[in-house]
Amino acid sequence: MTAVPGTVAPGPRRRVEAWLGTLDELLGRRIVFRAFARLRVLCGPITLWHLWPFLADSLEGRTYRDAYWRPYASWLPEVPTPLYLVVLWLGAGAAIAMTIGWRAQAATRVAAVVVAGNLLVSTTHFHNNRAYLSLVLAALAIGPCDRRNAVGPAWPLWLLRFEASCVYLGSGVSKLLDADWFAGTVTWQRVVQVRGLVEASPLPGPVVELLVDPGFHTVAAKAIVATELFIGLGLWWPRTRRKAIAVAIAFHLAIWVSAEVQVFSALGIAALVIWARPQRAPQRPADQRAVIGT
Amino acid sequence: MDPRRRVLARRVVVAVVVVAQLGFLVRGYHSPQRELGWQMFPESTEWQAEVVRVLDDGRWVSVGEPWPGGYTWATLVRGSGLSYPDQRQHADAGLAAVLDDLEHALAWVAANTPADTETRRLDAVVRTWRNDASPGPEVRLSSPARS
Repeated sequence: MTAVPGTVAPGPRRRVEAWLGTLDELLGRRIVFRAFARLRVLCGPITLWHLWPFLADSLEGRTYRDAYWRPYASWLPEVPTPLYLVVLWLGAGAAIAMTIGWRAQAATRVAAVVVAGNLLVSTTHFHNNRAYLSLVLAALAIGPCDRRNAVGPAWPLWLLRFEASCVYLGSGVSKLLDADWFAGTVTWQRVVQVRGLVEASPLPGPVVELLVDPGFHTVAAKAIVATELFIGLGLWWPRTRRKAIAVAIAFHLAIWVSAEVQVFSALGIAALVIWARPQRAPQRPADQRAVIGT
Repeated sequence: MDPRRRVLARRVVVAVVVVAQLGFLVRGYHSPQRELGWQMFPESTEWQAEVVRVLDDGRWVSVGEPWPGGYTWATLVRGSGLSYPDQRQHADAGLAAVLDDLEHALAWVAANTPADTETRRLDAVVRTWRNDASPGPEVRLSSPARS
């Protein structure tokens, strides 16, 4: 950097302060959380869908502790079964309340705690889609989501956008770095393993032939990696956001029909609402003054 | 809350979440279970296991055979993806995750079948196939010996 004659270039401390000031402005910027209100409504049925297998087990008198389960840490206290069942059904009620908007903020917080708690009671409950649902509900529980015109600081939205982006980028990068994945071996073998199902499907013969052709997968695998990376990065920039959202919807629908991913595709599509540009709300005087270091 | 403290608290919360998530992404390359590593459909590896009860006299009895106490393997590990180990199947979350889970499942079953008084421990011999369907290493897993 070249200093303008007669001026002094800002020192490192000033630059850090300026950077932190920009960060604080972004995180603290007051916005209208319309996207969170919409996502809350969509997440109600998704939460219920997610909880349903556990609820169905409870109706038959079963819980996770009746079969192999494993706590994340041996020192974690075991949840008494009656309490677990009450909490589980409370979560189902909260999911319904989220959708119909009855005490929506409190209901979302309850649902977030129940889904996260159910995930954390046993390692056998872990699936990526459930973890993503937990993170989405946690963000909704923190940020205001009870009304379409609710106003609050933007940081919960930024965090949820960061997590959503990580889902696509983490997946894309891991496939990019895996030689078997990038070469197409993994997708080709997955199709070969279910070849009988593919051949019995309504797909036309030439499509089936294409799907079991290893040459097709050398190209398809790279397209999948590029798709995930494009979604993860493209959502951040206004110029690419619409295309990234369209690609993400197609991507999730393709996964929905081709793989068993529980609530992942529905959640992935629903969560795209957070990329709508939030409307800015008037700043409070206290927020304008609260810039550390100035 | 004092506005300055609020800003500091906000910075800390955001930093903790971002650093933790980045840490989980990196951990996903080393940990068998890859929680929050977001590595979806990571492998096409397959596995198949012969799970047996090792009796006090050293005999091996398949868990598919009648079991003292009326236990069945599929019921004991219900919901974990390990119910039918004798079938060659895809390792959904990766082979390392399956082996990690199966080892813990053997230990859990050994510790939670009190009506079975003849089994010393449970063993599993796991055959594996790599992403390209070529045979991988055979892995032997054991539960701790029952007292």
